[in-house]
Amino acid sequence: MTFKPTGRRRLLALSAAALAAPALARTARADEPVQLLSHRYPALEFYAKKLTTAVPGTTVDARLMPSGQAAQLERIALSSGASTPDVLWVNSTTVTSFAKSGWLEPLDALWDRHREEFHLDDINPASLRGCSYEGHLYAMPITTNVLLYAYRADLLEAQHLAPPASWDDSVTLAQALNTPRRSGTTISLKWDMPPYELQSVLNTVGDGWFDKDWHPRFAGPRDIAAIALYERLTRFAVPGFTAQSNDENTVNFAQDIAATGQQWATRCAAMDKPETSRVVGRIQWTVPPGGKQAMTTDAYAINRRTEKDKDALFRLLAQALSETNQREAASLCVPPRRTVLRDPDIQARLRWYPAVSRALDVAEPLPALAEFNEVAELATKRMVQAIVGQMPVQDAMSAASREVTDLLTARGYYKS
Amino acid sequence: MAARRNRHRLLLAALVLFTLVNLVPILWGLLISLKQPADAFAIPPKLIFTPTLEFHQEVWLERGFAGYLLNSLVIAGVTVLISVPVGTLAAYALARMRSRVAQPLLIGLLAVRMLPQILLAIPFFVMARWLGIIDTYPAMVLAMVAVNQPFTIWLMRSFFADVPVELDEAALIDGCNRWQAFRLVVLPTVRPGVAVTALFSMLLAYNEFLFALILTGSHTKTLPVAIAEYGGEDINYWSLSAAGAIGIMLPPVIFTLLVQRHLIRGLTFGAVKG
Amino acid sequence: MWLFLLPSVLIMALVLAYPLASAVYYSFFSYYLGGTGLRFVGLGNYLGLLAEERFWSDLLTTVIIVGASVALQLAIGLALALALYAVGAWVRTITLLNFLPHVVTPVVAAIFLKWMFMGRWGLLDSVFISFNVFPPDWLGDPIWAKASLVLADTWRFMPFLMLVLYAGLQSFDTSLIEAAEIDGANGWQRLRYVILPMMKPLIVFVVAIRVMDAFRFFDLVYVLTNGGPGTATETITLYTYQLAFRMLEVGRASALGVLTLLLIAGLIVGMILFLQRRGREVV
Repeated sequence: MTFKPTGRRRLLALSAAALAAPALARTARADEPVQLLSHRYPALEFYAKKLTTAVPGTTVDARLMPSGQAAQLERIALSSGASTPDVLWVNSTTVTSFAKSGWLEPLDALWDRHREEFHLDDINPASLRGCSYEGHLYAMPITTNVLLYAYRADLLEAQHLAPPASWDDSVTLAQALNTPRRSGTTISLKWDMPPYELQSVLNTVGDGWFDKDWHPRFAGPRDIAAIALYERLTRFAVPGFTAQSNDENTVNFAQDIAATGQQWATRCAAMDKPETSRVVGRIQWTVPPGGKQAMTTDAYAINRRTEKDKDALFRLLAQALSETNQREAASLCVPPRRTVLRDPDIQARLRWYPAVSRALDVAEPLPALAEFNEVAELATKRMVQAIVGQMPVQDAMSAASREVTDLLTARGYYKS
Repeated sequence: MAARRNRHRLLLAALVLFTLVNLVPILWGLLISLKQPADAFAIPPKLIFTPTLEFHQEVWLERGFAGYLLNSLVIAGVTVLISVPVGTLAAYALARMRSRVAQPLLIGLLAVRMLPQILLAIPFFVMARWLGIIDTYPAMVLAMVAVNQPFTIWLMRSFFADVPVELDEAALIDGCNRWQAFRLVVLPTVRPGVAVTALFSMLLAYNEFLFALILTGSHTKTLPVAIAEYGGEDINYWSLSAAGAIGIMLPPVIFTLLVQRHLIRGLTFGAVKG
Repeated sequence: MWLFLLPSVLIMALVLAYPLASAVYYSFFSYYLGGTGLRFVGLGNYLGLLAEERFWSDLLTTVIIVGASVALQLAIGLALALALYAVGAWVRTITLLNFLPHVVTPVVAAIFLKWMFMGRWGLLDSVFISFNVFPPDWLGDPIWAKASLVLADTWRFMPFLMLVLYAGLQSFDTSLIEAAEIDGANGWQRLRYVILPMMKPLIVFVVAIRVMDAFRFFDLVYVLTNGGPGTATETITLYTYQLAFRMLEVGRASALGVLTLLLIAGLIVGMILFLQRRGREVV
């Protein structure tokens, strides 16, 4: 039998050669760029761009993606001991978990060394708290995001109503504003991230997540009352709230189908842009009723196994977080630098900033427990089951309490 | 005869109607990619608007999607060129084997397709890192060929199963060896099968997300990974991913068009069997 | 003959042996992604899962969604293939257009479908509301959420069945169908006694592939409902994902994966044996 070199075979050989070439070239490359893996939203995109030009001669290879994917990829890489990404995005809940696993470089010494040069004392202590675990600093804060209570000022005024002083009031208000075409409130309980939205109601109506020894408080009467109250609130919410998260929530406000609800500070700017919103100028923001609402810091940490010079990486991050950059990014996110946050010019230009400043003063980060993501996974599921009526509230909350206690026992808590 | 023609006309009308309904999600996605977000999600739906190509332009020109398209094409193309010939060979062997192993082997092959992919993610990453081939084309191509094999083999085997064994036997009697019988006699009869298999292998490799997320980096990033990077966290990102999604469809659509010619031509081999 | 198998087996062995083996291996260990080291637990992970109510309820949900969507897409796919075969006109255009949903990248297909089903501003709702009709909560009602997922999966994968079955019809020996027609068999009889038996291997193939893939149904659920409301649409694979990447329990996730594999394998073998007992060889 004959083997004619047909076109297809030649193509095959060619493509094999083409494949081999870059693989060989890769090993020969001397100066690898810094690998950055990050969550993507406009503010982080802005900082990623700044990082690539922060230090002449240092190239940064940035991969930005939605938070779930980024965290998944980070876990796969770090748990298998990879030296890249060199710099990675963390937030207040992942930082504790990664730090406890020993994957992140502690930044305390580097911080002290560069304190003067980069005016690091200007950075808000609340933001730093969100990047720390057991007294050590593990990440450089990029932005501190905080939940606000957004409401349609025009609608409230028309009915002579005031923003709610308590979560009970918020139910009454939602009911008063509810119409077939415009729901009284918007809620996002798609359970694919920590239950930020439940934080305020759990902390003010309920007793919060844990006592001081990390025993869950869900089964107590006050937490049960908090979840029961939230169930009442959902009756006036835009349908489909179990399938909605921040994006859908934002559209609900922007398309004039929700009158009140919690909203992240990073979403405020979109409300006033005619390209994205049909309610320009009609939304007003304040502190969620009773405060103690969620805040989270998005930050960049250094991989402990990186082969790059850690001091250089730190300087790169500090450079990108300069006051000039933070000023430029102020409409995209809340700056951790106090001089920028309190700048009267910015406070006047960006009309949600006064509310943001007040909100930051009363916010409460999610519990700084390394296992909080797992706790949230178990507990939120039960809370949502209670809220949608799949389980009686009491039973759901006892189940949550039991499951979380079992989890933390297995992870070595409650000894002695 | 007239009744029959009427029936055909009715059937055709039903087909067209179904097709239109079936296309609504894509058409809606296309409209969203051409609108500003404020109009895209308006109630009632806005059908009259000033279209903007802003998002298409931004995706393909400013955000580097053109380069990712090239990566996707290389990976999908090479995967098909390796996967289909190799799988067709194996499928032919399995279809003609009288051995009792063939069937269990066939089902065993599919184990890969029965395990949730996410469980393969960690070992794949570990393996690729160990070989030092992360962010290279061979990593993705190898993974795609391997993951594609069971499907390719099964699909091709069902096509070979329809070809009567007498055809091979006749060829062997006429003095062909196994290879020649396969290459010259049997293979031409299953051309539609090869075409469909190539199409699905191409789609699988071209659209693969999880393995691409783990095995590619900035040098080899594929379009699905790039599009997924704009999956949310800003309403403008939705417009971008819609624009990307419309553009990414063009190459497979062209490929489908090319393949279609072979699909229809399969009609002829009934005569060979005689 | 065995030589024909060699390249394929070699590639698969090289690439897949390690990942498959390690998934099975991890399933016997307590492997916490954040911690250090593995602890052998024998069958502990398996027994733990089998004793869980969540496992069984997720399994039931998966079976309902998979059963309904595979049945629906087989019915529509077969009907389309036969209709295209019978009509014979505009075939290329109609197949191509109906194939498009399968061409859309999965990550985006899910977003496209979300824009259909989302409450109030999704296309379905916004059309209804324009006429002052307030439709049900497509993704927030336990029953509608399942139905929406079935529709979504059907939209994505029906084209696959249509095309494979149509290609099958094309490569069949048409003389048999013609002979049956001459013998006076009506349309239904030709379908039942000539066309369907001829297509059996292909039908078994597409159903098997779809069952396998639908059991691992992930992107669509993850994007559309993430298992909600409550746990109404939580499938086994979603649970596997949650165990692995949210609970970080890779050992238990692997055990669940292996259980899924065994279940599907059992289902497929059962289906093949059942069909074989009733007729000719199908695989």
